Parts: sequence; C-alpha cells; structure tokens
Amino acid sequence: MSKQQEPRETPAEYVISAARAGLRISAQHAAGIAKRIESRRQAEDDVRAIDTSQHEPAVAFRPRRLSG
Amino acid sequence: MTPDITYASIDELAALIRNGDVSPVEVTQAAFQRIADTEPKLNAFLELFEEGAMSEARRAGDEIAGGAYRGPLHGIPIGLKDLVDVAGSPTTGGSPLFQDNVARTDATITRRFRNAGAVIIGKTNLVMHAMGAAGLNPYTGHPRNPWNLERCTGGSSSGSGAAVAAGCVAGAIGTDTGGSIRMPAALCGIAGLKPTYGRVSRAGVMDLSWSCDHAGPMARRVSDCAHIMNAIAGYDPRDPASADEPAEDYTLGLSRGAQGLRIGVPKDYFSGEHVDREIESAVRDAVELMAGNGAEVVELPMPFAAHGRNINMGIVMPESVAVHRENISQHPETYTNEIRARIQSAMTIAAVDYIQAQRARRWFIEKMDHAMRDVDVIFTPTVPQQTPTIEEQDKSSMGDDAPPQGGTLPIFTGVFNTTGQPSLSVPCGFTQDGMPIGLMITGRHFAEAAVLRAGHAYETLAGWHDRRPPLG
Repeated sequence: MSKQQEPRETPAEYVISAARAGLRISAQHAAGIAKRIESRRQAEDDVRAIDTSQHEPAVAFRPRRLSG
Repeated sequence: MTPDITYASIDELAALIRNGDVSPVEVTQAAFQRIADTEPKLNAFLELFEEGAMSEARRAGDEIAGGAYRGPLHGIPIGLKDLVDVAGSPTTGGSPLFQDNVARTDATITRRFRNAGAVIIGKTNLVMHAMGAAGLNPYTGHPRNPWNLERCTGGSSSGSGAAVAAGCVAGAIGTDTGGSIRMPAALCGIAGLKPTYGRVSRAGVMDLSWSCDHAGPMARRVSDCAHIMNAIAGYDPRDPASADEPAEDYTLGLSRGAQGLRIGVPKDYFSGEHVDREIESAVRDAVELMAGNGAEVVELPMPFAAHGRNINMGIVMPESVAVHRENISQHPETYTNEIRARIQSAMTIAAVDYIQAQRARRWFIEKMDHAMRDVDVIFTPTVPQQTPTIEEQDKSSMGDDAPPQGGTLPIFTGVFNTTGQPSLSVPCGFTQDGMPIGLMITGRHFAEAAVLRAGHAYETLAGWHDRRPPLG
C-alpha cells in the first residue's frame, strides 16, 4: 500500500466525530470544511510522496547549558 | 521652514535630524498629520500612541541635543503590526478575541527599537490572526491599497504595507509565515524583508506557526530595511528558535553594486503559464538590468521547488491548529467563516503527516542549498498574479467553502518559509493599470547582507521606489 492510499478519516466522518466531541460545527460549515479537507489532501499526498527515508524532521530540540 | 519629509528615507531623515534641520518632534508630528490625512481612506492603523510617541520624540530631541545620538533610527517614526507586544497596550491580532489582551512587557523587537531611539507611532492593521494573503479583515475593516483604494494590500501585514507606502511611517514591522511581509510589500510597492528563520526574535510576537513564523522590516527603501535590521536582529534567549549568530552591520555592503553578484534564475516553478505575463516580463527586465551592470546570471534547475508551498502548508496548518485549538472550540463566533473553516478542516491532519512535512522540509532545504551552491541570490516574482480587488476577495471569502483569501498569491513566497532563507521583495515595475509589481530576491541562510546588497543595487539602477501613490 502506498503512503497516499493509507486509510484516512473521511471528511464526513471527521465532521461527525468532531461534532460528537463538542466542536461547534453548523451544517452550513460542515460542507465547507469537508470541501477544504478534500482539496488540502491533494497537497498532503504531494508531501507524502517525497522520499524522506534519509531525513529527520526539521524540528530541532536544542538543549541549552544552564548558567551559574 | 520644515522640509517635505513625508516620503524621506531613514538616511535622509537621520541626516536632517542629526544636523538639526528638523527635530524628532517635527518628524513625529508630520507622521501623525499624514496618518490623519490618509487614514480615512486606508484604514492602516488599529491604535495610535500619540501621547507616548510625542513624549519619545521629545526625549529623542533632548538626547540628540545633548550629544547622545544613538544612530540612524533615533527620532524616526515606526509602526508595529498588531501582533507585536507593546507594554500596556492590547495586542489584538486583528481579532475580537484579543481586544483586552494587554501586553505586560514589550516584545524584544519593541525593546530594541526603543534602545535605538525609534519613536513607536502605533499598531498597524492586519488580517485576523495573520491568516490570509489578500490582506482583508472584516472585523477591523479592510485596509486599502494606496495605489488604488479598490485593490487589496496583500497580507497579512496589510496595514504595515499601506502605512509605509503612503508615507505615514518610515518603516514598520511585519510578520511572515507564508509570505505576509513580502506579499503586501509587493502589492503596495515597497521593500519588505523576511530574514533568516531565527535571525529576528519572535519573543512577544503572537504565534501562528512556531517553525514558520518570521518577523522583519517593511520600508520604502532597501537601505531602510538594513537600518531596521541593525536595530532588531540578533540573538535573544527569550525566543527558543533564536539563532546564536553574531550580529552584523547590514548597511556596510549595501553599495557594492551589481558587479560580480551571482544571480540564479530558476528554470522551474517560478515562471510559465501560471505567472501573469506582465509580472514575468518585469522580473525578466530586472534580471537583464542587473546583468547589464555586471551581475553574472545563471539559470538554475529547480524541479523540486513545486513541493515547497505544500510542505509549508503541511507545517503551518497543524501548528496553527495547535495555536488556536482551545479558542476556536470555545469562541468559534470570533473567527471569520473562512479562517474558522481553514482551522477546523486542518484538525484532521494526522500527526504522521505533520512529521512527514517536517522531514520533507529537511529534504527540501538540502535540495535548495545544493541548487544555490554557486549563486549569491535567486531572482523570482514575489507573487504570480495581479493585485485582486477588495470586492472580489471579499465576496469569495464570505462563504464557508471559499478558497483561502488571496488565491495564488503565496505560492512562491511560502517556499522560503519552508527553507527559512532570507527573502526580500522590492518593486520592479508597474502593471498597465498602475499597480506595483514585486521582485523577490532570496539568499542563503544568514546571507541577509547579500540579499540587501542585491536589492539596493537593483533599486538604485531601476528607481521604482521614487514613484508615489496617487493619494495626494
């Protein structure tokens, strides 16, 4: 299975579970959110397809020496 | 008689102040007068510090008269985007949510401006929570572009762009997570520098995306950006991402000209069908002007560049969810429909996709470093499309399923938030309908000096910065 094919919550599933969890999403907003999720996933798929096997995340943890 | 200082550069103002031809009080009064004249049209400011600024100006005048001149920003009016803390004043982020968010201390940027003797004039308008490329904010009222009041300023540092372009302040601070300094600089016809990530402190600056947020100068001249950088850049232990790199004098190499500068022009992504023809032509002319004056120009293959904006958004959106999660759950009505839908939809992004974007970012930076190994800077358009009208953007951002405001505006700028490279927009011409065009000059990490040198060289040769918007 390619990274792009990995199962993901559908927009409808997300909206339902988010509403159950108490996130205030109106029916009117739900359609807009679902549409945005679909369009954003094309960008997500583009990033998923990049071979990052040789790369650590670019979030650096930098310990700093205490003074004194 | 007081000389006309409305559009004076920081160098010009500093010389007038130092020679006693004009006082900081007169410069500050002129700034407030200009704001009073233009604000009904532009809506560039959210708060003005008239009393405090006049007091700072008087103190600057006294210090200079007493021989304690602090440098080129002493007595110079500056605006701060309303994400930057000023002790005792609310930092609103352009949102009703933060109307009473009074800062207890100055941001590091604010404190450094005060140390340089600058006069903090006020807080500039912005897109709510800095989330938008067109520059609109239905809550605070849309800022308007001084070159055409029906057009967008670009965002999210929209008020800073309009205020500088209209001559209200000599310089202003913007912030840039996907292009929010460079887009309004391009659309308003001024210079705007996103420094290297970590070069300018974000301490006391409201967050949007910790690993993509940058703060930097916006001004009418590249040399003004260099003066502001001299005041604000440098290590700050209050900012966990601050770079422990030695401070530089960014004005030193400014006048080295185009001779010998190595300019790369990407063959991929930053040109072609998706770029407006007038914009592409203006950028090509800028490259030719530099080549005709001694710059070495090479084409660079950059097939990977098309991933840059997607990686940028793959990082910005989950980080912005983390920033806004609690507030958007408890106070969703305080967000615009568009911003609320963007944040709520991003709540579906899996942790593994965020990590993948951060891994892809490192891959992308390696590719970019390799591509730029033999050049000092690259020249590209700042934005690919012409300046949208406020009306068309306003309509499109009303609906919940509307595309993010600004259309394709950030697709080039966001690439360099992924890499964290220094990136400058300077004016490089005007469209047939009179709107400014932006040239983006991007350098290697911590090579702000090379970027500013290239921008100053081009600006001096082309002279676009001498044009003034038709505001009266």
